[in-house]
Amino acid sequence: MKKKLFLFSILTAFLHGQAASQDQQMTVRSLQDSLNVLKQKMISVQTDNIKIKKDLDSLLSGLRAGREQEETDTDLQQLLDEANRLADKETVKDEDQLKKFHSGIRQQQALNPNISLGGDFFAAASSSNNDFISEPGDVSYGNNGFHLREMELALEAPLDPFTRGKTFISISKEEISIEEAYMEWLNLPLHMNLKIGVFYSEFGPINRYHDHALPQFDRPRALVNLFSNKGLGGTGLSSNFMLPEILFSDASIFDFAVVKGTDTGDNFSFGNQGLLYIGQFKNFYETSQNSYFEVRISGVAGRNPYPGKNNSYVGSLGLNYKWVPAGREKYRTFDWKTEFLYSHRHENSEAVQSIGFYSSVQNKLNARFWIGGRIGYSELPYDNSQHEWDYTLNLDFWQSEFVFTRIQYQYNRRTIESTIPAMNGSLPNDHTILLQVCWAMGPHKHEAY
Amino acid sequence: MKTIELNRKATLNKIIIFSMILYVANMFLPAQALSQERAQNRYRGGQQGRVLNVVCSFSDFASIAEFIGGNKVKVSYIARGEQDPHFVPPKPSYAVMLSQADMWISTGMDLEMWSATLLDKARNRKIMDGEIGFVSASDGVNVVEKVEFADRTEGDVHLMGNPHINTGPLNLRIVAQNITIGFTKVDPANASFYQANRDAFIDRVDRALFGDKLVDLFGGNTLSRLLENGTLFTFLDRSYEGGKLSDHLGGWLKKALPFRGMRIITYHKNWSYFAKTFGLEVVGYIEPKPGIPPSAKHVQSIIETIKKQNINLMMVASYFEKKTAQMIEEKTGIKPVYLPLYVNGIPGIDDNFKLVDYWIDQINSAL
Repeated sequence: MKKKLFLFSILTAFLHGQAASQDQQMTVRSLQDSLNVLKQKMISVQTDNIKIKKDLDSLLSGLRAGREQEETDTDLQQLLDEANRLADKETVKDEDQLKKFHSGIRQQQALNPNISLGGDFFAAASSSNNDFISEPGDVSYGNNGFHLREMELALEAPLDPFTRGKTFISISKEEISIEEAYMEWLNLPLHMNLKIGVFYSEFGPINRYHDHALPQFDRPRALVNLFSNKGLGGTGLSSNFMLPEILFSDASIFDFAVVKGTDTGDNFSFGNQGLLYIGQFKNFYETSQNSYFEVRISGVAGRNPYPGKNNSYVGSLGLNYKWVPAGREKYRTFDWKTEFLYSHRHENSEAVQSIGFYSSVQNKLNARFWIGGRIGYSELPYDNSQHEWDYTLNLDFWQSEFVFTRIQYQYNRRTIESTIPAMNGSLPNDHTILLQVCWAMGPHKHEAY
Repeated sequence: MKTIELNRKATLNKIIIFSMILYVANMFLPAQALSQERAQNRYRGGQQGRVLNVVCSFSDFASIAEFIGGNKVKVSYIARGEQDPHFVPPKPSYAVMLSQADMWISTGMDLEMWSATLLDKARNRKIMDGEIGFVSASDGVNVVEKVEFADRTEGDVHLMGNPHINTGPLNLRIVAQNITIGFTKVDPANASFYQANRDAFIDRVDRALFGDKLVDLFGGNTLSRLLENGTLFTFLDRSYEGGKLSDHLGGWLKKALPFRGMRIITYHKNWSYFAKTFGLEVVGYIEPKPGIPPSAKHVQSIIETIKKQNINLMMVASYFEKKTAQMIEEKTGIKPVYLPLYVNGIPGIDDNFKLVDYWIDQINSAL
């Protein structure tokens, strides 16, 4: 029994030990689990810590950057403010009690026309030593002595939004005359203009030039013997059309004028007895970037001074070549102008046909000097057996755009009967030396265009 | 005989009456011209496929007009890049160009005096002064050397001030603005296109002039105003990011620093705006007065000035004669730079940016 009790107690004790061991194992396991949980929690906390630290760092660096940016912005803003303050710096004029206010109602002089005054002085010495051949508009400027050819008063202004007005008054010792005075509609339909008043007509390369703008001192004899020193022009209407380019040209222009002629005396192609019909067709060719060539065909018809109902017809072929090297135009220019003229003049049942020509060159040597020359031949319109040759050399010195001096040598070889009784016979040949000085006050210069 | 005389008088009277009728009829022509102008000015610009025909007095304006107008304009110009725009022969072919132009862009000062003759012959009302198709490029430019007392003792004076505005890079911004105004007037349908191109052009000028960094920091307008009123370099002396603002200067102004403050001689008053922008001091001109060729006496006085003041640089627009400049160079050792004044003045310089680059490079290489 004891043995049974002993075994029972041992069994019990064993079982109890077993149970206790099992409990212990359970506890250990439980502890291990707890440990694991704790470990995981710890890892989680550590992860959170790292994240929080990162967030904190990020926040701190953001704050730091923000503060720095703020500082930079403040600096930049200060600089910008300063920049704007400096940029807006203006001279502030002090207002004071002495300030006066003005009204413009009586100050309208800004609307005055452009006013210019040009002088054309010359001195001449002629081998013929004969003042009879020296009347302006008659035969020649062979005067010996000092002369003021003219003072030219120029007035130019727009008249209204549609028109311009130009007036050129020639004042000489002998007379005051209107050289040109016209108003002009510039922008009419069909690329056309219309001019009314007194004007030189478009006829050949240089008929329109005023005296001070001529390539030589005087007009070519071929023109003077037909139209006088006053040139071809008068009082009337004139129109100018820009045509479509014709004959491979770069520009084509047609001019037409009806004028009452100028009183020039009996020895020229036209007088003031009737109307003159004048036309010109001009073709312009760009021969290179630096040069161009113009061809003009011009004609005029009208009553001549011969008593009775007699007409004259004058035709002209004008050629002009100009070379102006781009970039060197201040120093070099070459300009060649030539015109061939044909005159047909009725004298009742008879007709007189005469011809003439001139060829003129100008060569710019440098900024100040031009050298030029001209040769010309001319038959008188009323008697083609009377004729003359003229040869001219000139040297021009331009001290500025407004003042130039010209020395010109001229030889005229004439077979012309004098119309002046005192001359008693034919006009002599003569050699002439001329000194011309031209000046311009105001905006109108010696421009030839 | 009396009958013949009467017939003659009758014919003459008829002609005079015809002329009078022609004249009276003409009185209505301005009205007709006005109506035609209105029709033209309602405008061909903005029509589908329509390209504006733009004529400029010289190449610098043409280059800007092309940038702003893009494919909506056809641009041509009269004075060539190597040409002196004071002296352009007014050829009929130029009048033809202008007669067909929708827009005429010139300096708007008394530089292109020849243009008056061409405009009169062009018979194109819409490009005349004050009309919709005329742009004065200089409008708004801070003009230098304005004449207070005009008389010809000062030579060939420009009454409205120095017209060589193209040599000042800041003026390019204003010219672009004026051209854009012109384009938007004649072609309002494409206004936003022109304005966007203008903004791009002005931004390009700003970056070319000041460099990117300063433009990003302060904007081109502020910097331009600072440069214009002469306070830019005072401002650039301010501290920024541990250094100075001037450390961030770029573009033409940085490239031109080697000659900033230098005293120079020029042939003519062409370079006044350039000198103002880049801080050069012009102490003498080879021309005694504008448009007056140099005399021996004046050249001698220039030589003395160069020697006394130790001047080392002489700027000459390439269309001037070189003989006098070469003689001055031989006698003083001064370094001359012969520069094209306009776009396309030499091959390869085909816009305003290349032109200013070229000027600065040439001056730097002469130093």
